[in-house]
Amino acid sequence: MNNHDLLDAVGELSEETVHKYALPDSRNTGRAKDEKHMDTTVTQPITQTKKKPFRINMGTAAAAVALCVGLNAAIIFGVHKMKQDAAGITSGSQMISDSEMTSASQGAPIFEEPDHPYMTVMEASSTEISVRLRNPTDKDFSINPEFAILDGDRIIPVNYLGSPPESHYVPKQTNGEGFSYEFLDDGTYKFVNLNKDGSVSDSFEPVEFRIPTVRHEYDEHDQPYMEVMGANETEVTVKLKNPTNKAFTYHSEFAVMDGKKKIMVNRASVYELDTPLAPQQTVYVVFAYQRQKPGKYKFVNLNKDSTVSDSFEPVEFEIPAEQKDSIRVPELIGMDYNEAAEMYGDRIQIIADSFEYSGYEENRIFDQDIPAEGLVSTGTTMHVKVSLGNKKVLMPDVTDWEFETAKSTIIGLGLYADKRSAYSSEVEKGRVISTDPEGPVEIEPGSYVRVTVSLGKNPDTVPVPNFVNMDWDTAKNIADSLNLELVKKQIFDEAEKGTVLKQSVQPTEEVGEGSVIELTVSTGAGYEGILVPQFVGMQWELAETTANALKIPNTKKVVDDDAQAGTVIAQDVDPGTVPDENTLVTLTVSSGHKQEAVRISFNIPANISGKYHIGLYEGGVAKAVGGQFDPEYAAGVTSLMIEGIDTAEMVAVLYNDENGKEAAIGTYRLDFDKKSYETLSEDIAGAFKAVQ
Amino acid sequence: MNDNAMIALFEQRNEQGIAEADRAYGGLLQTIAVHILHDSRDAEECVNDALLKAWNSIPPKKPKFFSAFLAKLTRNLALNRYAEEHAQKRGGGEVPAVLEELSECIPSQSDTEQVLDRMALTDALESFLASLPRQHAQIFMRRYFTMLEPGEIAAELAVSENTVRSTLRRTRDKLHTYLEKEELL
Repeated sequence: MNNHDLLDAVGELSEETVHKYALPDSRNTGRAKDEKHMDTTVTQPITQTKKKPFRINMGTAAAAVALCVGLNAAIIFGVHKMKQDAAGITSGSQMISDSEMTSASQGAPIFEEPDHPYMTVMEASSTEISVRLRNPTDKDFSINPEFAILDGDRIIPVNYLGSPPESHYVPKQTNGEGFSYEFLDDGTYKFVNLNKDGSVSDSFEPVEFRIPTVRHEYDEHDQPYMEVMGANETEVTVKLKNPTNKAFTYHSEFAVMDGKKKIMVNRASVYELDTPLAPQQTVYVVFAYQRQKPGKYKFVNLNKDSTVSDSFEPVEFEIPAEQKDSIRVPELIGMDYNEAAEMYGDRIQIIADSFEYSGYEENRIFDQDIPAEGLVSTGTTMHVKVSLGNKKVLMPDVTDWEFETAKSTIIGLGLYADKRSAYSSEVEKGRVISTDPEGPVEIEPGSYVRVTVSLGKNPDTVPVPNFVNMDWDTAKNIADSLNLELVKKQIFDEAEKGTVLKQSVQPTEEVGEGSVIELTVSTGAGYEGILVPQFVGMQWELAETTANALKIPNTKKVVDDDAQAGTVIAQDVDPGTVPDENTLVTLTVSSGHKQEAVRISFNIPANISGKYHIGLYEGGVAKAVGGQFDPEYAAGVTSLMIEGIDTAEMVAVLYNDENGKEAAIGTYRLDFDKKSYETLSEDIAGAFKAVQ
Repeated sequence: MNDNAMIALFEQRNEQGIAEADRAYGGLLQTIAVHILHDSRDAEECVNDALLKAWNSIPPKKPKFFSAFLAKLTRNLALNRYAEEHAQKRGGGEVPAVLEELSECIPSQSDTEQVLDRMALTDALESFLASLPRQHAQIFMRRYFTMLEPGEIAAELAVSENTVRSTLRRTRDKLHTYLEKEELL
């Protein structure tokens, strides 16, 4: 063994030992910063020679974009057509080729950046738009955070997706915002920023964008149509489909015809009956009706005047005599595909349309085209989507990373990075302060990750010091030196007089210069002056007398509450506070009653038609008026909601709105506390007869 | 960026990781290489080699102390390079001096009877360093691992150069005794 061995052995020491003893403690070990060694070395970034240029995987990112659209779309039932929406958005890849990403992709800038705040439409579909807003200047910039779409002169309102749009842009800030709107046909529109009065603002110049034409799947129909999926004696399940390229508007009232006789139906489905139907949209709706005999019927769409409409051609259907001829649609989502086929295969045909990654485990069904609640005829074909597995990606904790690195990592995982900027005194400028969701986390590809990047320390803010336990004068001196304003609130405490007990803004929080911070300061044990007493629990009269005797200004606020009437239930100045010239104690007093609502239902005869409404009276005073109804369409019942306290006796009166006649229906005793009522007397049929 | 973040980038095969590692530790590694090779261009290449070697070994490797991991790679690569270039002649740099000093701990005539067990030697060194006062271990490692000159160590640790030199001498003596006691000599 020789000295060379020893030298080598030193080199074999554990990383821990090397780290502990051989390396400098300071973090300044980077090449560029390490000036101590600069004199002897020629620095040259290794990355120039050894490193291949980093490229964004366009395919992945584009897929992520497509997925985003897909996810939003999947909320709507019957998603086939939305897939095509995603494919139809040709501008999708623009999202990753915008100027912000050029440093990562090392490409030439795509466009020359304007020197004023501007908007870019990243992608648009018939119901959603994604916009990028950027302030490229060195100055702060504020807007009214309201936007709209212009179709010629028509202003189409938009709703924001996710969090509300930001109104304040710091220098170089870029925000991505998403908006949804009513269904829009393909064509060219403008996206605009609005002033508070609703007029188009020029803070951001309006931008033109296109909603692409939706390609659609083949359908033998070229008109919107209805199809009865299944029926029994009390309900029918209907499929409404718009196979065209245009939105289809119709009146959303339907009926069942038994020969010439019209049978009214109620929608009994939780799924929305959308009108208009978007291009390629399919909805399934369940309608309920009074029990009907087996036989042949027609399902029709109605006009506003209740005549049969030809928007949808009427369809014939049969209420089968045998129960087994129609089956209730099973919930297949979440089931194993093979199991589902085994279980229901004898009654419905289950066809797997596609196999895709989803939030479900492998082989589980994650989508079915007919929702589980309606009826279908035995042998109906049902299309499902089967999961290839629960594919998630692991997003690392990118906190403190350079934003560009964090972003390329996030995008590389098939996620979408949504950048926000914020001042931070702790995180270096350009590095990530936080992400939402926080890493490390497993998330689905295509998810948005909000990345908040540091703008460095805000030159105009100061971190709030910890004042607690200081004496008031010291705190005041420190606050003065930081340009903070202090407000003193004295409270009785045994701590030495003048000791700060509490501060209204927590230490290390950043506040602007001149901000006001309230310090709660101890009076000291020896204090014998006036203190705000504990009013809560007192009766109002006593509280008021006490407050006045102590010369504490006060005001009363009555709220509905269960506590005994007149009891003070809250005070906005803490007991023990030393009142000063600004003190005004608001005492919250209970009314003793909490209003409750009771619903009264009236069974109405179905064989009458016309326009009626019902009113409720207590001692001759009108307390509630119900909506107008037509007994023929009311499915046998109408109801009326009324709020009140304790108990009350009320008279219900029926009005015939066509001839102005009225008649009493009955008398009811309402118990608001129990949310119930008792019928004392009632003759509905008699009342209807009386007002004819 | 912290070590874990950089390692994560390496694991994801994101070449930005190399840039981040270079930014964070390039200066340190350059210092180590320069002290061994005494030539800034050679040192530069050596650091680049070390980073590339790190790129190729993470994953599967997952270093606990990234800076130390890189420092070891750099030091050993630099020493190999040094050995190649100085197979015959004795050149500049700290290596000859360091070797000279270390020969005090290990008499060169012990060659014949040795059964070279590098592992045992390294283990012994570990426990030896652990037994030292922290500052003595720091001075020792900065000299024999990082190969800083005594003056540089003094400046970095805020002690006099004399203290560094005398600490080194005393530590070498201790090591000699220690290795004898461990029957490694």
